[in-house]
Amino acid sequence: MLYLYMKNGILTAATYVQKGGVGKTTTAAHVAVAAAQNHDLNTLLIDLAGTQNDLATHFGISIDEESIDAPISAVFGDQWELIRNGIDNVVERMTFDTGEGPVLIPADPGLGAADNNLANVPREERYDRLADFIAEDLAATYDFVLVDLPGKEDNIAISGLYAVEDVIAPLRPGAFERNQLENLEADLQEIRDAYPVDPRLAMVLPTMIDRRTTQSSEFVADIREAYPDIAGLQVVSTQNIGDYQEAGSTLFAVDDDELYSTGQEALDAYSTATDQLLQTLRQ
Amino acid sequence: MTDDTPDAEELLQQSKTQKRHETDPADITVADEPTLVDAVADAYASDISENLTIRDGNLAALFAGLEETGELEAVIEAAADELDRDRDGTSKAEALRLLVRVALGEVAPETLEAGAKGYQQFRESQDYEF
Repeated sequence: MLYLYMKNGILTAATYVQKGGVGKTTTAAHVAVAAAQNHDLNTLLIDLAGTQNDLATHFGISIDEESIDAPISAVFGDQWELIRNGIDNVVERMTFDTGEGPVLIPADPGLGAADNNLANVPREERYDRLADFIAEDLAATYDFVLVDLPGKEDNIAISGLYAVEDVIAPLRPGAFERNQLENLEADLQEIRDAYPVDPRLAMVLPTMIDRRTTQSSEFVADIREAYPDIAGLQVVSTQNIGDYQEAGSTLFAVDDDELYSTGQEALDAYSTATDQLLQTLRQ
Repeated sequence: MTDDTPDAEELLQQSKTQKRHETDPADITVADEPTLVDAVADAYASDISENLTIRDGNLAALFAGLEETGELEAVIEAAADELDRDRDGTSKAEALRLLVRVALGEVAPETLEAGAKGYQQFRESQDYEF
């Protein structure tokens, strides 16, 4: 209960799965835009997933060290209190407009060092800095904060799970993915056992689904059986996602008549998944 | 802006220019010539990939066959018995995890001990609780 109070009423979630190439960043981008456009939520995306800044690229924003005016990595440092008290508009300076509704705080090169520095912080204080940032600096401005977390078990990822608790896990079918469902639960349980956090699966989203293959159909059926309450509608594989990602937008920025039928279907799936996710988060 | 602004601004800008290699956790000892135990502990503390990759077409074919015929499970069982540990799944990854340990135990058993000590050292340095 204390934790819910600390969040100051803001809705939060994170995309997290300890596996690359499952559509994590794409999911974060599309869910954030759906929340902003379909639900009229002031939505903030935070990219903590690495310094490649894939989320910024997804929205056609070019990021380098120079263009980052105020880095998110500062939030994890010992001096954040002094910085936030000394610079009135520091949070505003962190953000970039995606042009599709959500606002983005990109990753910055200091996140690796921030991860290391957190190892020197006493354990009882190590993981609450992002949670404090969300409650104190973001809750008054934003309705929904979605964090794209690193696909590994580092101090930044654990801080993210501590701060938001609710996890969106995209999964894709593939030859080496048979144990994904077991691994997903096992990874979260390991984190619950080892750290003072209690992440909960809020949504499992089957992505890159090719209905022509038996493997894909079985994969979707497995997910629905394992997670009947939180399985999202399948996001079908479509050339549109990659093409528009390269062009710097989500599918939501494209006119309906320019999308393939698979693109329209994927767009609808992200919309429905976002409806479902927000309903879960509000429970 | 308050009087603190210049200091705060400087601290803010420092955050993005810090590098991981310049900020090794203070409680991790780095020796001039690290032992295997130290090197393993350091590896846990850094963001190494958790994957080991083997590119070997013959082994890939053999393991595909083992999986297809259901014989992989017997291999996993035998390797787990050899290591005196419970198996954790029936996948090719589980088979390889166990078989690599069996092989290391055969040809270089001291490395497995160093691995276990390195893990322990890392855990202690992180002050994790169980």
